[in-house]
Amino acid sequence: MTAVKLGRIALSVLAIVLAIVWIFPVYWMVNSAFISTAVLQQFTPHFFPGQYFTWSNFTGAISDGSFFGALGMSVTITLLVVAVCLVFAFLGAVAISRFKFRGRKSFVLALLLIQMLPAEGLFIAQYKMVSSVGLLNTVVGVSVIYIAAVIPFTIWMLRGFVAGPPSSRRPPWSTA
Amino acid sequence: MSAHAPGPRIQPRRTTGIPYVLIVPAVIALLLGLGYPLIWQFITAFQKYGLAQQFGKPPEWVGFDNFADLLWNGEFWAVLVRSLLFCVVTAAVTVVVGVLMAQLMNAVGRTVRLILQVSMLFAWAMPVAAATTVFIWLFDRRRGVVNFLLDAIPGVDMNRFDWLGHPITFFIVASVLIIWMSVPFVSFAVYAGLTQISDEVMEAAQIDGAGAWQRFRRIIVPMIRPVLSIVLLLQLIWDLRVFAQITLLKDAGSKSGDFDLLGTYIYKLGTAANDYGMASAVSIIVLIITLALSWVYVRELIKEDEAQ
Repeated sequence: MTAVKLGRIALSVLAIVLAIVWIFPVYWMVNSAFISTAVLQQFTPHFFPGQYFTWSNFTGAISDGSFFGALGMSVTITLLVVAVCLVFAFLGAVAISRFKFRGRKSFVLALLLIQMLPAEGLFIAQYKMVSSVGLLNTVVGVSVIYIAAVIPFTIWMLRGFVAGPPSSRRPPWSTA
Repeated sequence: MSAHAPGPRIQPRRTTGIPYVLIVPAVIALLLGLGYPLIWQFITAFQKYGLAQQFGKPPEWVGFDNFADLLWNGEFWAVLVRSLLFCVVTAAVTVVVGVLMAQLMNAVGRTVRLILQVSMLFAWAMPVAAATTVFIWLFDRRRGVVNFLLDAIPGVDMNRFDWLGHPITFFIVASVLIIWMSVPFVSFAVYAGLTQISDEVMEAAQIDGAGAWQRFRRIIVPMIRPVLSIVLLLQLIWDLRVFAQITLLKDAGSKSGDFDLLGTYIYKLGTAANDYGMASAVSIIVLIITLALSWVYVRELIKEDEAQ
């Protein structure tokens, strides 16, 4: 009995050590955020901010003009992509889960294959396209690429939910 | 669930225009963001499309010349072999570590499991750019924690060791970074599979005298095989497309071609050499490799879709 108990304790200790190892990079990011660059440049790393604790990195980021611009850009693109993608993908999901139609199988196959396409297999072409219509460094240019990239996955995820409701709540368009 | 019987399966009319109308927005978005670039790329792969063409000279058709050039290009083969090797090793280690982690989660008490899971969730939630930046700090030759800790071990001299300066250690760092990022997904997926195995089966096996390894090999692995194969396949596909991590690590380390994988190689051909024809040809090859790899997975999903 004691051997089993000892084994359990050893496993728990191992699990805790692994948890610390796994979270360490995240902790290191937080730790570095509260230490000034001058101190971070020293050859001996500081595992806790301690006496070097400072908010200066945060005030620096906020007072730096480009931070809010970048944040605003990220938020705008995210909201735009999520909104457009949800509407388009919802309609697509209704189509594939509630209707049988010629070409449905090809459409599903295309959705699945597109999800697998690696970005680096396409980015040269996408860059060329966006630059040729003068949309480099614009919200629209990035969003067009992102929307296309996330629609297949979203349709695939939504199709289960759209197919879910029992037939008593089936939408009017599906009845003959 | 058995309380109310499922309603009759919806049998919609076969010939109606509605589904086509419904998929129009998605199809247009896909054609715009992926279809057009894909076609352009396919065409460009068969053209001579260099700097002169970017300044307005019409591109020339060269047939399979770009592909033939690649065939005789030592750098391309080196990059391809390196990428495949990196992908296979990283994916294999990720899955092995992920399975061991899942087993550990299953073996320890609730509180310890929760601590381990929360810590993995944090690692999983970290954006790629932030994670790579932190790893660059950790492996920094002068100020990095890794060299500091290794050097503290008596008899080990890792003072100022330049991890990102040598191809082998560069790819070890890249691999450790990607394994660190991917293990949470694998171990959560496998852990979910492990919880499906009933305790009675395991107990019965134990009473019959099956050792820990036998139970793992003969019961656990066969029962979680579907999860394992899907997870391994996804890791292989994802590890073939590690662009951001390699680019950022190269920015911190060396610009040399010895540190390129397929993604950064295409990027270099396209942006630095301005050779869109060659870049497109390599891209097509990457797409073909990925599609070949994913075909097994896609076939499973299609079956699942048809069974619905």
